[in-house]
Amino acid sequence: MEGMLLVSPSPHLRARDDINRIMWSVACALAPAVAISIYFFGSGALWVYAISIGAAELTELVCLKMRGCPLGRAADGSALVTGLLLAMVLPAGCAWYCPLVGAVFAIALVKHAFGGLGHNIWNPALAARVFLQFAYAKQISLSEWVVPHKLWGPAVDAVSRATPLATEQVARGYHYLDLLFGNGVPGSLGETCKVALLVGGIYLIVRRIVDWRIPVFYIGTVFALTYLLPAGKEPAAWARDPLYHVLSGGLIIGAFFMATDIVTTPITRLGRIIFAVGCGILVSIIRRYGGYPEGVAYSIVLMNTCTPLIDRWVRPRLYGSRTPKAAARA
Amino acid sequence: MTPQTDTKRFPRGGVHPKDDFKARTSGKPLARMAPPAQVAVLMAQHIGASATPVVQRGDKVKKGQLVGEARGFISANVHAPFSGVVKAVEPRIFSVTGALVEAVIIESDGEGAWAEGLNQPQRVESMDAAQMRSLVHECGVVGLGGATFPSHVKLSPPAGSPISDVIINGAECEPYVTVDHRLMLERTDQIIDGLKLIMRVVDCETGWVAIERNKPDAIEAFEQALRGEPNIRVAPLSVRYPQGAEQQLITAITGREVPSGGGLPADVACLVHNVATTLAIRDAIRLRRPLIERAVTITGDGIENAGNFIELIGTNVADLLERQGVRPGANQVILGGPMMGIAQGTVDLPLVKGNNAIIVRRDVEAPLPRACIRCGRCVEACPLGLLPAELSITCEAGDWEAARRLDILECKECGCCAYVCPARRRIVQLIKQGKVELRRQKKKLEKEK
Amino acid sequence: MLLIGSIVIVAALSMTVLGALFGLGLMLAARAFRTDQDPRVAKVLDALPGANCGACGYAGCRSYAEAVAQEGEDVGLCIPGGPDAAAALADIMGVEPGEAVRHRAVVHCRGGRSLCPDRFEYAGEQNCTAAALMAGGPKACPFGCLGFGSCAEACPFGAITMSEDRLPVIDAEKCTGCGICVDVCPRNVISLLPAHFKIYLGCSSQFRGKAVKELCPMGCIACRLCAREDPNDAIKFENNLPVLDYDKAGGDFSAAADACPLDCFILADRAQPVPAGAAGSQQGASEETQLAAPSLDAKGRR
Repeated sequence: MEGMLLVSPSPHLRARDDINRIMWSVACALAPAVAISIYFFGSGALWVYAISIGAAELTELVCLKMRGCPLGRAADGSALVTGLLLAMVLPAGCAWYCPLVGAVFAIALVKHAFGGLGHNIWNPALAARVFLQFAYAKQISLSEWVVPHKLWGPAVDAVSRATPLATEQVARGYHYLDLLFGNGVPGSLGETCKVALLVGGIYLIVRRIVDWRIPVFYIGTVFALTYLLPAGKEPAAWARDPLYHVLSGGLIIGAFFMATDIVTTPITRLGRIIFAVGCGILVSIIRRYGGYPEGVAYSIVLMNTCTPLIDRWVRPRLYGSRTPKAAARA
Repeated sequence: MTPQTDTKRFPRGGVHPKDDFKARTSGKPLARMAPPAQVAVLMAQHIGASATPVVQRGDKVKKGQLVGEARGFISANVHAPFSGVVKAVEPRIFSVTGALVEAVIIESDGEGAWAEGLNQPQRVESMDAAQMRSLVHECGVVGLGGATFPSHVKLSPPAGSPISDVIINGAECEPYVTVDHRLMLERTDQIIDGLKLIMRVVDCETGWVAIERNKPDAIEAFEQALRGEPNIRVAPLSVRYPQGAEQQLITAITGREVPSGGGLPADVACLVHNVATTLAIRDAIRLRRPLIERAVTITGDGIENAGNFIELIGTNVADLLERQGVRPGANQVILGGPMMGIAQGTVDLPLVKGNNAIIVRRDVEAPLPRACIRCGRCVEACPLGLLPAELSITCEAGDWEAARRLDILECKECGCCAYVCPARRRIVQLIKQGKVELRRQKKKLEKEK
Repeated sequence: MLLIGSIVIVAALSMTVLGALFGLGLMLAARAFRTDQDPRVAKVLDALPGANCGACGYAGCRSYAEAVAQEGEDVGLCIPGGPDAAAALADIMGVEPGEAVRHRAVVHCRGGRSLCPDRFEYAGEQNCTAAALMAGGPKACPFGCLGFGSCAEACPFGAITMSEDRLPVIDAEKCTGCGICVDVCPRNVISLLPAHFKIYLGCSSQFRGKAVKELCPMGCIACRLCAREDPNDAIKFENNLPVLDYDKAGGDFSAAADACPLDCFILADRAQPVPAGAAGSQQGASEETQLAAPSLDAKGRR
């Protein structure tokens, strides 16, 4: 015992998961979906990923420097995950400046302007997606998409096509299996192959990085409501087909990777269930009656806004507070 | 062995800290080493009022002789651990608070005789509860699990709160620590004897010996010894921290919850004593033997020869470490378990009644905390249903009133929240600070009135 | 044309009706929820400094103002405002102002980090209260300033800055004597001194002799020379520290201060614990110069 002793507060043991491990695990969980999206959309996808991640990390470095934080934090994986997720919710054919502007917006305005990781109100990637939707409505159209490479079956002639949720020309919609694997289904880079997303999502649940309640209650609510809600704007063939709704659009990536963002979701179990059900209700309503074919991003960003409120109201029952004596003392 | 389904557990929260160390010492019998040449017996090493020294410099004291007298009901006597001469009465560092506390320094004269009347078989069968209680009081028994609450107080439940269950706490859920495990194996019958005496004192019918499943040999030993004892049962517990915390243990075994807002186990008709305390109570009643020694696990990756030892209260920790060998690179000394134990700034301090373990670790680097990322893991881990994330944020902001509304005063500082925190926040320290600030505010308000 | 005319008329009419309705609503609301405010509350509030420091014992200036105006609370409780505020309040309330003595916070420790180093490596929350909870705090001297600056952070008047050597420096001009720093300090090294007394002790160590010397070269070793040399017999020793009785002989302790072999007494109007230059140069200096520093410092002051 030659030097000075180290006095640190208890507990002196710490679990292995820290912020870095969590963020890098999320990045790993996204890997299958990223890989398949590169197969689907080719170099166009690669460019979107490169610009989005590069801009996110660069912005992170600049913001850390400006805020006087250690620059090593740029390696904690949080900017990487934001960059990845943003790219995954953009269409393959979008203009090069879309991921750039989106990543800068996500990191600088949504995250660091509010005080950095942990203080942001909205999921940075999704908030940026919503921002781009408004700012570049033409470039990021929700009705015209690049057609991906197919895994099986005959190739499609068209260059662009509508997503399963805006598909009036295909009255029957897509086959379930095509939707599940993203076979020839247009959409954002990362949202089409549900199998790859599920693999990653289940990995995160098993690792206990995300709470299973959020995807289960989110998807469950959409499943129930799309069946129960009266018909709206969608073509009749799949309007009340809950499975078709669950497998289409960004619901799976949203439920497993966006709505489970640890910073912007409630901290209690019950709070998370309320959050997930709220997301499900919003998606169902937007999809059925709203002006947009898709509403996952809006539902999550709106419920993110409600998170502080949910956290304020929902508190676990205090140990020993149900006994009559405790009531008398209080 | 009873089937796994009998395993009892507390319903909410808790963690499974990694523990590579229990196995290192759990097979090592309790060893009694050569006594030190000098001890420093602190006057305040328990919860409650500090004792008043009743000896002076130059006095000769016998083994077991009273050197500090309890002041008031919630206080405890302290005794000389060996016979010798009082060298000084001067302050020494108290490992729990780091503050200086008056101590009686005694130098050994090598004689082994107990003071008159001590360590002799007592006529227990003819005693009533009050006599047994006063023996426990006289012998200075305090909770040896770490809380150091005077045992005679716990044995005097308030009138109108009958005790229906006495629980002997052998959970030992803190990683690294193995003293209770060893005591349960080596002194099984005496622990049962102690439990029966406690049940007599508080007039209770049902006794429990609660042991975590990671000590199957201890469960086995008690099941063997308790054959034909219908009133005392072994309660195997799931291996989960903080299974050995009083509230969690009571809830796991009886399903009752100790009322919040300062409720006592007696409010739900329970009385919990740690294994080592039970033995000390037994020795006090059966033999009138003062509490002058305790079992200590000395372990950690910074210790050469880890093991379990019987040490005299007042032995200098530095001497113990030197005896067991400290490996190069050791830079942290923790008194107590790694979850709730206290890191020390110096090893030049005396062993006190509450020290169940000395852990020496090497090359420890304290992680730097970051902003709360609101992942909610602490909320999942908290066995009391608090919101540690919110508590740490309010305390960091200095909003003590908000912390009070979040029930900061209910927190027992078990450390589950900070254990799981991926942002490595010092949640427990912030909560401790919040409690200090609230106490200070309360005092200030009282003063102004 | 007719159409446009009718639109204009309809718009004007509807606006008028709406305006009238809202106006009526507001009027009724103002009637229904009217509160009579004591005009003196506003006056008292104006006369207070508005720092909301809480030194008066109330939550803020407004609650104190209400207490003064409505419950007849003592007008002399505002410590930052001092005698001026007391006089102003007394004037408003038509009472006699009490005798308010202006106080100022002083630091009873000169052992900065360079003179009294930490005894262990501390890795915890960087504030004094939290640090004091951990093994008694890292400072070698168990009575000295911990140096995390909780007092500076708590001071509502920005009167406290932390020196390079991690000791609080109190700006006598800005200090109002509210006493918040005194409450905040876990080591109790800050106290309030009536502003007209110019001398105080710069140490809080209850050790004596060698025990002090080992920890800090600036510490009071309880040699009692000051008590012996003080002509007014106004110094008593308690817990190995001289306690100055300021009421005796008008607080003149210059003889006692001169007698102190370690220059433990600080002259308040030049209350620099260690000159900034000295602290800077000592960091790389040898032990010898460090030990010599106090006397240099003292010469500079006299």
